[in-house]
Amino acid sequence: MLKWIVLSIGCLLFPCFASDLVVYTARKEHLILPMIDLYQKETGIKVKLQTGKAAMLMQRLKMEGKRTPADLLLTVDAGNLWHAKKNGLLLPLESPQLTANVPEHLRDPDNSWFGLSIRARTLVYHTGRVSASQLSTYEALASSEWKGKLALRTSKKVYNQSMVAMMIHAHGETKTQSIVEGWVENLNGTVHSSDTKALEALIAGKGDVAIVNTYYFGRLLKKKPNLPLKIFWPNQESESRKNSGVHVNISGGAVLKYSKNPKEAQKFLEWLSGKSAQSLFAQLNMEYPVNPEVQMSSETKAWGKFNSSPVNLSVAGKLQRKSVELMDRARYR
Amino acid sequence: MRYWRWAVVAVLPCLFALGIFGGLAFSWRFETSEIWGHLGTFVLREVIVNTFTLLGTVGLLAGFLGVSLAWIVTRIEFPGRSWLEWMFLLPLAFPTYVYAFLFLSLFGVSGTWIDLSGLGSWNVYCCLSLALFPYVYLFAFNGFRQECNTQYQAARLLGASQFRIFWKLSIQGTSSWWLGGLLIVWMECLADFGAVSVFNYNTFTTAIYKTWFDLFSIEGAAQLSSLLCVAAVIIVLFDRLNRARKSTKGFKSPKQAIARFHLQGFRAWALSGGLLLFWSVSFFLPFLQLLLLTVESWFVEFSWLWIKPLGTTFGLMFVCAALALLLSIVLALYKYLVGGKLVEWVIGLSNIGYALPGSLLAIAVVLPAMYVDHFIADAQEWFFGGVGSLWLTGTPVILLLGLAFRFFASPLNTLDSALSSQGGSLMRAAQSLGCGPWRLLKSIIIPLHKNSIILAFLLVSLEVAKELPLTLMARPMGLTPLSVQIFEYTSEGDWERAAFPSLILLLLGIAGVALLWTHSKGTHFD
Repeated sequence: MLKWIVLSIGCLLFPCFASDLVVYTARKEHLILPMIDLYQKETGIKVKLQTGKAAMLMQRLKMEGKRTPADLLLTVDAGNLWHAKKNGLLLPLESPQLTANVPEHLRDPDNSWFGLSIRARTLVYHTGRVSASQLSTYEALASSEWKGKLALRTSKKVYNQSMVAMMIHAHGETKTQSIVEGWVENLNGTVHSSDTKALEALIAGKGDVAIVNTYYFGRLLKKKPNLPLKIFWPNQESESRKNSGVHVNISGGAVLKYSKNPKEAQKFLEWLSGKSAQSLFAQLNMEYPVNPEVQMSSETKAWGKFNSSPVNLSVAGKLQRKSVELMDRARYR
Repeated sequence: MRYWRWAVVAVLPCLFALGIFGGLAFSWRFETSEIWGHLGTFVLREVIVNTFTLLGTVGLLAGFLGVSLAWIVTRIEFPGRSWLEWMFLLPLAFPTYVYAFLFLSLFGVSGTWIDLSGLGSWNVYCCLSLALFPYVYLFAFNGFRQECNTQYQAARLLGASQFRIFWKLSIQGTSSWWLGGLLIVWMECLADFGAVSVFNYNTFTTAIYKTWFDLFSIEGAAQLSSLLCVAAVIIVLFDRLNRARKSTKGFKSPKQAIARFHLQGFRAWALSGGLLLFWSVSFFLPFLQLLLLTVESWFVEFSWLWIKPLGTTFGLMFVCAALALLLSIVLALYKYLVGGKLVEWVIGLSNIGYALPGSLLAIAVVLPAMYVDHFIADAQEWFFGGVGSLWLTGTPVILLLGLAFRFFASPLNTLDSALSSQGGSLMRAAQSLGCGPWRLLKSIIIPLHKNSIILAFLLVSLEVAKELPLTLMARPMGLTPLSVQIFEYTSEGDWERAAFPSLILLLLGIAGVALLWTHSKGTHFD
């Protein structure tokens, strides 16, 4: 028996042995693996992944301190990266390649983290019950004409927390709270556990408009090509108005302060912002590449062009806690 | 002191449990008035009301379903009874987080069958009741089977009405049995995170998660956890009291079993049909849905990504079950050899892991392990220079110990009752002839209780396969078992990709249920 236990522990230990680069990632394994494979093929460098929820990975990094085996953190949502920086986990980089490939508002002002793909959080409406001319802004969905017509995902999801944080930045807390209260008032039924469920609710007639990330719409469209739903880009009218442009967020990466191999880690991050990885980012999950020189995927191209919010995404992190508290006050569950 | 080596091992889990309680109590020393101001005004009320409503409603529904179904199959003869008898246990094969996502894809907004989203919170009550009622069913079934006909005859002779006999003898008389099942249901509800988050239903566990990860206060989360821990301990105390009551009051080995009432003709078939319909909703529909999703994912995009996690799951199952079994053998034997109130208390405290929510246990294992790890690394640096490595948390050791601590209560109970019921005189004789504890174990206990030990081993390993929060939070780098893979897919609403790994877990679960059933038929399950 003891022999078998030792043997099994040995087998379980096997994946834990060190490799050239260790990446802690909150991105799903199937979305990141193709890139890792390509990098390994191109450079021969072995990359090991530890997946998990962003908050858990950060807690782990904090506890591991200077002895962490990790070299890089890849995660979704700028708020998460902002918190990692605030906790002193990240290493500021001097990289002309990264600053050239990643636009300024999609990276940390001190170059501690960099966006790697853009995710737009926009409106999706039911074409049978709503016309595009009825829609204008996120804020307008709080008015009483949308009563019983809104489908939203839970406020527990960081995408909504970041979006509301950006609204607090634009409008201040009082006005944002009244907008969020308006949304809650206009909900059809309860909030949904995922963006996909919110979209399915529209199809089932439980609401006319939803606020979702575009790639969830794309995934559903792939499964059901005749969807009676369409994307609408809100807040496009005036560049000078507050909260102008579509709310975008990023999935991004950073080199960790206590990386044992910071140079290799930086090279990998630079590679991720380069052309071959960026087009993979665009194709794998129908997200938008951060590198302006890289083409969008054909699916995302079909949804049209839009102006995105130019505000630096670190704001989302700074105001995230305020945003969570505000949504609690507004009874947005 | 005799058996001091055994005492050292026996006292370790108890110290660990005390450490958890101490750590949670210590968390109250931190200043968190700002967090509590916000939680108190906007979060706690809803969470407390929701948690108690969930416990109450699921308790009532699962209690009603479990007791009435068990009564029907033990008292009435109808076509298909011997099949339905064990089929009602099958929902237990689903991990609750998988059951919840299948329930939602059957009865949610865009449900394949009917849209029940208008029922609001009743969806989560119904889902958890359907997933958990088999616990009550199994316990009640065993309770009813042990009832004695002579009591019924006496009651009838004394002129009691049919209803009074049913209420006083069947329901109240077996209360210690079905209450045991109900207490497990409550523990599961209290600790559940996966299923309630699928329905976006806020309970204590979701509040802990929110405080830690959204409001960034690990201290506040630990304080909330301590309240949850108090609730779990209260349930455990009830459970212990109930077991004590059962052992003094319960009917042992019925002399004359009660004959089943034979239902004839249409009424018999109607009953069979009704029960089959209920079984279809509780097991067959979710099972079918899972199969459909698997087929769908197979054709859309088949990937072999689940193969490695399957191997990891088997590895974890085997090692954890072996560790839990070893631990329980040491504790049960030590209790038998030394005995006494103190030992009973120590062991009672050490096997509390099964009642604690997995996420709480994860924090409790990882935090101290990290301290030990840094201590070892400090020493390594002091001796050899350079930067020390984290040996414990970088390997699966912590996860394995955590899982063994969580699940060793059930083999311990099995062995404990086996040791106190059979072979006692043989062991005493061997002891008087100078036989040491190892030899007792090798020559008497293992050969005599081989079946119980194997069964306990298999049941623990199946529990390990389904466990999520502890595995998710305490696993080392690169170790992804099936449960974690399912969680990753479902947390992004990717049901199709989650389907195949879920199906494998379900098949393992069905094997576990089959084992449980054969065992419970053969012996008097406790």
